Amino acid sequence: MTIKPSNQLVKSALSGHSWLGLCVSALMYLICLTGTLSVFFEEFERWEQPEIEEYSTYSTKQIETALSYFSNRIEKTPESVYVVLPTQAVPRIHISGDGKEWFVNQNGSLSSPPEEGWTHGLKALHTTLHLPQTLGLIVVGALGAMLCGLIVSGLLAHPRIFKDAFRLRLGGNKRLEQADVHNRLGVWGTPFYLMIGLTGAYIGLISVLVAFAAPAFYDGDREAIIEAVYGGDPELSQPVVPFNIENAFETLAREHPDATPIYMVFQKMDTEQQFLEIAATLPGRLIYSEMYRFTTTGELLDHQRLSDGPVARQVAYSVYRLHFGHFGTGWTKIVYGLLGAGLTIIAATGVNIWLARRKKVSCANDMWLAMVWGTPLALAVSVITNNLWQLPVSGFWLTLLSSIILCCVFKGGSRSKTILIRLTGLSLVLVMYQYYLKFGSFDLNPAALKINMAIILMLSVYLLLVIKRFFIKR
Amino acid sequence: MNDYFYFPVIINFIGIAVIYACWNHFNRNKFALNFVGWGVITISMLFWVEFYGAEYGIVFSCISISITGLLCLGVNYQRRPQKVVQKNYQNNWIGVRQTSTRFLTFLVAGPLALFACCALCLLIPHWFSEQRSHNLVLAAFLLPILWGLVSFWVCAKDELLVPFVVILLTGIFSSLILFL
Repeated sequence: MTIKPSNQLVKSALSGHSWLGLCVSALMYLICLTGTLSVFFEEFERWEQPEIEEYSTYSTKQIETALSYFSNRIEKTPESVYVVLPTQAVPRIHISGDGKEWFVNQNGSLSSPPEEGWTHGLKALHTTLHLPQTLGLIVVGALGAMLCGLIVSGLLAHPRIFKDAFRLRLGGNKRLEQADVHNRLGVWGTPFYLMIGLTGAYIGLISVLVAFAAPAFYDGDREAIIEAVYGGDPELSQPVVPFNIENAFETLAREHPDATPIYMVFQKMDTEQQFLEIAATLPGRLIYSEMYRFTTTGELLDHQRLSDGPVARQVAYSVYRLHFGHFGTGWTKIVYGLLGAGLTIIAATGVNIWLARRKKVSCANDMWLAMVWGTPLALAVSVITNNLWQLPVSGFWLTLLSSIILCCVFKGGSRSKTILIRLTGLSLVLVMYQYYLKFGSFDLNPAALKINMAIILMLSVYLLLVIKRFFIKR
Repeated sequence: MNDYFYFPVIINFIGIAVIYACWNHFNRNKFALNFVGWGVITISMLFWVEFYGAEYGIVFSCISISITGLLCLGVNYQRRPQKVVQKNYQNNWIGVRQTSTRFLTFLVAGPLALFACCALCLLIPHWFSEQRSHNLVLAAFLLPILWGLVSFWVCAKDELLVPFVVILLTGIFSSLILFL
């Protein structure tokens, strides 16, 4: 017995899928592309500031020295001071509080502040589309929800999608080719894309739900909801003395030997309620971290029960790593990057199918082409504008706008595409040139080397393709 | 990466290869072969979970199925000469009626549907108040799925009136239950 949906259902599902996809296409493409790159944001941050000292071991004396330097540099003691510890992905320490932040040298002295450069712009583009924080998060969360809707409707709209799971016809009819790429990438990546959409929507829409739930259940107290889900802070009253960090680390190592500290927070500093939190990852767990709380003397108070508390709390705290692929080894990031690129292609081919089905060509074709090929160009140009004038955001949007105008003026699909690809290549060459000029080397740290090698490899492949095409033409 | 990394990868690959071979070569016993293929994939999932724990294991398993499937696709593709169809360049201005219809669709599928879905999802923690924090998280995960599906439904309908009325009434009734 086979369950076959009626033709009417398939037709209306296809229509709904097409319209929903078209409505969100441009922003979806932007989010998917920037999301794919954002998987590697830690590497990009190290690439942007390769001169910062890197090390994987640290001492409590180093942290204490950094704390005293930090206290001297700021005017007022912040309520919370964060010390982010070195990890395999980011072997650097940085200290922050009240919006002030510095990297820490191996001797405990403070180094440069982290730059709000290109990577910051990239992350902001992915998480908020450069809109005001809350609005941007909601818009991006809404796109996550639409992605979930598109996945389910895509499966409903294509009854043969599993039957044709291995069929990929390239060339020939343009619409058929684009449909094959769209459907095949879609069907094989479904579980991953659903996971990404769901976790992304959760991150973005949680504020909307909290705004609704607070008056309904907690008399408008939003903090109470956060506390109910994630757990609250301990209530303490103790003499104000300096923190015994060494004792806290020793206690943690003794009581929870599996835990690997990733950052620490000095909460309510210089008050009787002060306490120390050490966030630590646990092997095989997707939760961002478990929070171990200590008194000023370094005695373990409790842990927030993010790893062994209510299931809902564990699930809610696992969303970040699951969405960004920051767990396991470096391979996880690479696979996330590949599947993210797949989702970007799905977003692009979805609109291509709609355009190919039309009997005419219009400025919509040019604008979409500009969106698809202009976004990588805009991202490359934003690196240059960031290096020259610290303006990555304006650089990005101005380039994208120029690409759209250029494509609408030229009105020639393939010609505009070639120009945009060449300009992207040229921009990447300029990025490499600027990088060498600024830092004098491509391998100041392993992350910088990997990213520079990836860019050089991309440029080489492109150059080889251009040469090949040139000889074929002759 | 531990020493057992290749084991579930290989088993997963065998599972996908069986399904691929069945799709590509066999006309008979398709159901049985597909069953065997998915069975092997399930076994590979168990190995992922065994070696990496439940959380990493399930995610790695899903990812490995995607990657292996796409690799098979890369092996199986057919390339034909590109057919270039010349089309006329023609810009048609979108009419006021069409623009307003699309704007209304956006309002119904966007903010209105979000309001209704939020209120509907929050009925779970409202009715099951003993484990409210649990159910709030459940509602937070349910919201995007529900909203996505409702938006899809609005876009799939030719007429906007029915979705508008249904969504509006759902939102109002759910809110009344929540706040009264």
